[in-house]
Amino acid sequence: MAIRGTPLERVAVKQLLARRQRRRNRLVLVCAVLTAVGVGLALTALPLFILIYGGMLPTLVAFLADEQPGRYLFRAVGFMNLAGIIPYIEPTLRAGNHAMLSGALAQTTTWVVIYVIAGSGFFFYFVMPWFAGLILELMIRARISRHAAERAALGQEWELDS
Amino acid sequence: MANTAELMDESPGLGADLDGPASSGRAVLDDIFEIDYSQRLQSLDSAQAKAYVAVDTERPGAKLFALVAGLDVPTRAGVAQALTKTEGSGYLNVLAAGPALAPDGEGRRMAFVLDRPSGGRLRHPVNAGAAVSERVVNGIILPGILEGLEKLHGQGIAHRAVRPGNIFYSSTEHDRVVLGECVSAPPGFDQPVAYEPLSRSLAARAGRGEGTAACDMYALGVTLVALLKGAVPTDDIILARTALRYQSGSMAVIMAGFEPSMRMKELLSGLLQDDSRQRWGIDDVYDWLAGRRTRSAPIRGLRDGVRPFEFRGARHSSPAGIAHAFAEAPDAARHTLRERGLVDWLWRSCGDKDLADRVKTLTHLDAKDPATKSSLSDEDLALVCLALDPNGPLRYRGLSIMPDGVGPVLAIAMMNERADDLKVISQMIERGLIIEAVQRSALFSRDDPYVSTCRSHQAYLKFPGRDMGLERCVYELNPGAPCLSDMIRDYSVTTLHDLGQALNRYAGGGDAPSGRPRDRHVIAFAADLMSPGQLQAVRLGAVGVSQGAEDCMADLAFFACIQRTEKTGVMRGMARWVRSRMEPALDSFHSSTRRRRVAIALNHAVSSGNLTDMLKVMRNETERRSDAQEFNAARSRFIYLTNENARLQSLLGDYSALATFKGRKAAAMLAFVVFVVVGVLTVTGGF
Repeated sequence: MAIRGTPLERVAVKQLLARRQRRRNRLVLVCAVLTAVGVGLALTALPLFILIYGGMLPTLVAFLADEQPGRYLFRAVGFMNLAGIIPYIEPTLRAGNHAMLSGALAQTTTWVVIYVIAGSGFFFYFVMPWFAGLILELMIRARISRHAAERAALGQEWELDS
Repeated sequence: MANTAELMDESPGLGADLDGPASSGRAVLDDIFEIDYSQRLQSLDSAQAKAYVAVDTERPGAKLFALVAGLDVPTRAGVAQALTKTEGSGYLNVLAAGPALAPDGEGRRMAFVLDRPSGGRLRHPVNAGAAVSERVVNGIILPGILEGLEKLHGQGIAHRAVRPGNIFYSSTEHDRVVLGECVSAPPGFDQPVAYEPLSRSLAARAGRGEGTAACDMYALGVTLVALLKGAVPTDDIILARTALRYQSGSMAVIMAGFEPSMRMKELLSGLLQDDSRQRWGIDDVYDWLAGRRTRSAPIRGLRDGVRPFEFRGARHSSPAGIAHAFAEAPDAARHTLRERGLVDWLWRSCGDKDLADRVKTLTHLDAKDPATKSSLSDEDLALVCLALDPNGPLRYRGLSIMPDGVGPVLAIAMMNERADDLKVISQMIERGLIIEAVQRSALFSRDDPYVSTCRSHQAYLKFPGRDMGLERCVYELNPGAPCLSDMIRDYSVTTLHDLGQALNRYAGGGDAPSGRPRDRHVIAFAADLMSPGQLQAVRLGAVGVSQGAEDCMADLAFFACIQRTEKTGVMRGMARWVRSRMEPALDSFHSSTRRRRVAIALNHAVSSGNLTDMLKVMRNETERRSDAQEFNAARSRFIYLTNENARLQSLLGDYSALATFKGRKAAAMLAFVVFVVVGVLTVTGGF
């Protein structure tokens, strides 16, 4: 830990400020790109714009909320979100018109399906640690008992004690 | 590897000596001589040994007898062995010497086979006899004794038992005499006090010392007086007149009331000189017999002072006499030595300034500290006595020993377990009193090897655990002495071969003995007899073994060495005994599996009675190296597992952070997989 007033502290403060600046810049960049793409998409293919920008809202929330290293919430929600909207985008792109997509957008079930699938990303993110804990405990216990058995055998053979 | 069959072939069957048939009443010595215990020869008994008829199986007609010693007095086994190698005349030839089956069949005793004199003993050993004429003395007795002494002295051996009761007629006509035996007891041990020169007569019986030819010449003189006069003063009378001996000379006391012829008086004057340098030798006596010797040094005591020195009401003329008086009354001596009286007397009356200065130093008369000045230890007193009487015995804490007589005194104290004597002798050696006595005595030259022997004894006592202390001294000072270990003492063991056999027998039958096979006596006895190669083999046997296993491995190496080099044959009892104490050495193997395997191999070697195989099993370097290497690896692994388990246990207590991290990562990966699957299915038309 840097001591206040020392050159080291000044360096640490500088680094922190630079990191914040980079993050802010990245956010601005993402917003700019999304705005530009969104404007372009809204002008050329409004249904597609509505599906993507409306359907990917959970991902945007996750992006903004997740500040943890690795950004696993953003990744989990993002991938699940994409998995939810791909089945609606693919026929549109294949057919070359937005007729079918416009119909789907009008249906509530489409949005429910997209958001439920995106929600499962949140589900995974919050449930998997518990599940991983369970597996981890089992693995640790198994390793401990394996080590204890080997240690006991060594102790008996070589008369070693703690 | 010497297998069991080889060992059995090499076995010489010493067991016959150790276990011989007692009921037969016979013992065999040197495979040639048979001692017949059913036929006693009481007339030939020595003071410390009983006589029996002996037969030479190769010369059945030879007239022999055997002397069988007891267990409480050491013999002159070294002298006896030397005498067996030569055949002399004028003394009873020793034909064989060594341990033989005891008369009662229990154990063995030192026995000596000698020529049997035909004419019986010259004089009863105890009772005085009738006077003998000078003609018989000059014509028969003196030439016979001189012949014997000449032969013995020629071999560097002092007889030390010349007295009328130990002289025999070698013919039935009683026209020749020979000297009796001198091997069944320590030198001078059985001599009445009168027969010992003044200085040696004041020592303990066993401590009169090996002596010199001059001692025999003095004893010859007293013998002649005893024969001519019929008797000499008894021990009590002689001891009571010690002061007179110092003042007027021994001759005055020995010959009191006896007036021989002038010619005989001349001979006795020469032989009874208290100063050994003035005493006649054999050549002088031969000259006298031939009528050539006409001059004799005047007899006088060891008087040195012009005026006498008074101590406890008695007047003393010589420092040696004062030394004796001081040793008789040490408390009074201390009181006297606090004053300058003796120092002044030595200086002014004796004119010996060096001696006066030495006594002054020893008695701390110049010390400024009153406490130092008034304290005079036993050691100081002994040194004062030694300074006053350098050629006399070492007098310390009531024990008087000639410097060359330490061995027998020590042996007797050991044999009879006299703890007080052992303590005093130990102090004499350890505190350098013996060395001081040897260096001051005119008996020893400055570079006499005995001085270095005494120094090594002093070193033995400084490290009694390593060098076996007094026990080692006993065997070095008594060549040929049997091992005094309680386990085998009854077998009079004198060789390493017999040592192995006797201990094997001791261990045989029933459970193995609980004690250590090599006690202090066995170690000291063997150290004195073993060759450098054997000692090295024993040392190597215990090199590099783990702590706690040194003793048992050294024991194993020792007995394996004896079995191999002395060809003792199969030693099952010994093997069982050594095996019963091998646990520390077995425990030095870290692996329990290997330990069991080695124990099985060891037991196999034990059943064959082969100690060399046992040693090979226990000193298997490949096994030991593997054991050490594997143990190091196992210990490292054990430590790793211990630490790893501790880490996992702590992780088990707090793994939520890791689980959260791993779970979130897994959630992201799962989402990615779902995305890929859905994407692929969508593109391929799976939906």
